Amino acid sequence: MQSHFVERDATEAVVAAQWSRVLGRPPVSLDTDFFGSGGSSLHAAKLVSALRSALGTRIPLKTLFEASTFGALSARIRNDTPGSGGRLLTLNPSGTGTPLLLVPAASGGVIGLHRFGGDPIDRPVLGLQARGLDPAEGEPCGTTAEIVDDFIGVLEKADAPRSLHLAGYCVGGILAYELAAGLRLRGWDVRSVLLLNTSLYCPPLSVSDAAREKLVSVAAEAGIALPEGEEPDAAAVFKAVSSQGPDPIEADFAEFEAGLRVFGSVGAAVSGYVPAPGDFAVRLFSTDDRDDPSDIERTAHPVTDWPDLGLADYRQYHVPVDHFEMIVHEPTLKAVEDAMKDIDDGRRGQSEPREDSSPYA
Amino acid sequence: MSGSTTTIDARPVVVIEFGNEIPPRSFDPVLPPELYENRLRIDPLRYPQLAEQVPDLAAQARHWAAEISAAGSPRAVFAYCSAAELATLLVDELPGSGIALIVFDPAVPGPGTPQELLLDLALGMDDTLAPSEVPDITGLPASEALRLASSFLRSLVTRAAPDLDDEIAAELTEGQRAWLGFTLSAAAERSAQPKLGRVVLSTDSEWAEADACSVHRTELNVRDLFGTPAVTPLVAELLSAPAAEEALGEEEPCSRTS
Repeated sequence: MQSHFVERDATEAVVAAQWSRVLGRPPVSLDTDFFGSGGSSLHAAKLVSALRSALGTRIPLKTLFEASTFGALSARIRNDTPGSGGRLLTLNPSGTGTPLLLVPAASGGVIGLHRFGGDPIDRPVLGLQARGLDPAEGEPCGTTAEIVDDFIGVLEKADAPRSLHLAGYCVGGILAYELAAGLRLRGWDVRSVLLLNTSLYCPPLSVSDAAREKLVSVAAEAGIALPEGEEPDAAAVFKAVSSQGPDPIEADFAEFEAGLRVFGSVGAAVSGYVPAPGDFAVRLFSTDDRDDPSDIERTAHPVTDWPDLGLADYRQYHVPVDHFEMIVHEPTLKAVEDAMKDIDDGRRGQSEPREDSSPYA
Repeated sequence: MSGSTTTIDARPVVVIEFGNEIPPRSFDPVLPPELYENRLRIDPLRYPQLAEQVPDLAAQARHWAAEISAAGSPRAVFAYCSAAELATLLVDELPGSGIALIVFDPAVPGPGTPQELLLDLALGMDDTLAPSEVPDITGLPASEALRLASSFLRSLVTRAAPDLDDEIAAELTEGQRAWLGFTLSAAAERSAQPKLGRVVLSTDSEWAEADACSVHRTELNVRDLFGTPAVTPLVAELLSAPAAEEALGEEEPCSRTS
């Protein structure tokens, strides 16, 4: 279980990213106060300026003085500028390196990845949102090919930079890898694919199986006991979850269900996944718990792990924390930035750590 | 069935709170719940053109009295710190009688206060700044002091955050200039200390008993004075006193509670 604060939606991800960039540390809870965390009026101006740029909306400076906690500020932005960002979010609008594109994991969004929008990542950072998270968008994509086509459509429509690093956390790494291949075919400059603890043990799952696993996980995290031997009831879990904690965002059951459908669709789409070798740089950041024992047990097909795929340009980094901690682990973020910078600078291999060694000493 | 009836005072209360303060102070946590729902908030820094000119406090009081007149005569005016004198003038401007004036940690800016504020604002943007780099506005005519300080603050924003877009920089300095404008107006020369109503003090503050009807010293620091409901019963007590005195037709007595 993760112990760090996890933002709950895209708005919070963007606010948290810029908050940590301006103050040098992220908010630790919804109640974290900007000014109580050392923010001055100049910091406030910097944060509001960055949020305007990231969200493409005009947020008055006084908003931060009126709503100075992380939760209140996010809520004001969410309420005042609904739908800002759309399917392609800007977590960080500026920086010196080639832009980084965060590809969503099974959650369908960039929730949990806000630290990649803050220091020490020194480049614009974008984040894709899966189709179907908004119930109005209809059903989610059913296969990795559909997901890739859909993401490319979003990137082209948004006129995204055509030179990118791609990163995906957990199963998002698979989608990033496949998206990289699709973009390469269309002539995009894929600088690298950064796999953040992406396992290739992908057990066969149907959409409903994967969605059910997610529902059980949500219930367990909320401490909700499910009747043994019975199918979990999404409505009951939603009701119990939304009655807990402050300011529940998912006030709409339709959104909750949509999230489950996206999760199920991604889980089913990567079932039995075996990557074809790509001709782009691949960097795997791997913890000791990357492969889930239950996934290993349930995966019937033979698995060839990333190092053995014969990739043209591959490096692996050992991450000395666990799966959940790695996405907020400062040395890992630094190592990710350094890996991208080395590729940007054409210094492949010069300053990188030895293969499968820790870059964090 | 017969017996006495209790009349509920439905008049609003006015709270004077500075919107740009860091950290913010608010009466919200200490107001009795029935008053919280019926409060009128004045942010002195929202006085029109306060970032560009220095109107006297009496003019500001007239403006705010007119702004809130539609809500009828309030039951009480709450203020803190340097809003103390504005609050006394506001009470004088408001229609009706028996309006309680309750001031937490009052302060009367002196001639050097605007310079201290300018230094604070400047160091808040660049803590490497030497005090000698900050222009001295003490003793200047208020409008000249505001102009000089404004120009300096704008140049400092450009220096401290060259990437900040002009619109945000203007918003930031507008707030700072309004704060300076208010402080300059509150620091204007006066013949006597303002006479306050009921004063409530944190452990960090002092106020002469002769300059208030009553002075209540608490054992709370500033944060707790505003941040907890610990003083709510005292506020309720202070609010009930004027009404009772008015009903009896007596002159409001001065008292001291330590």
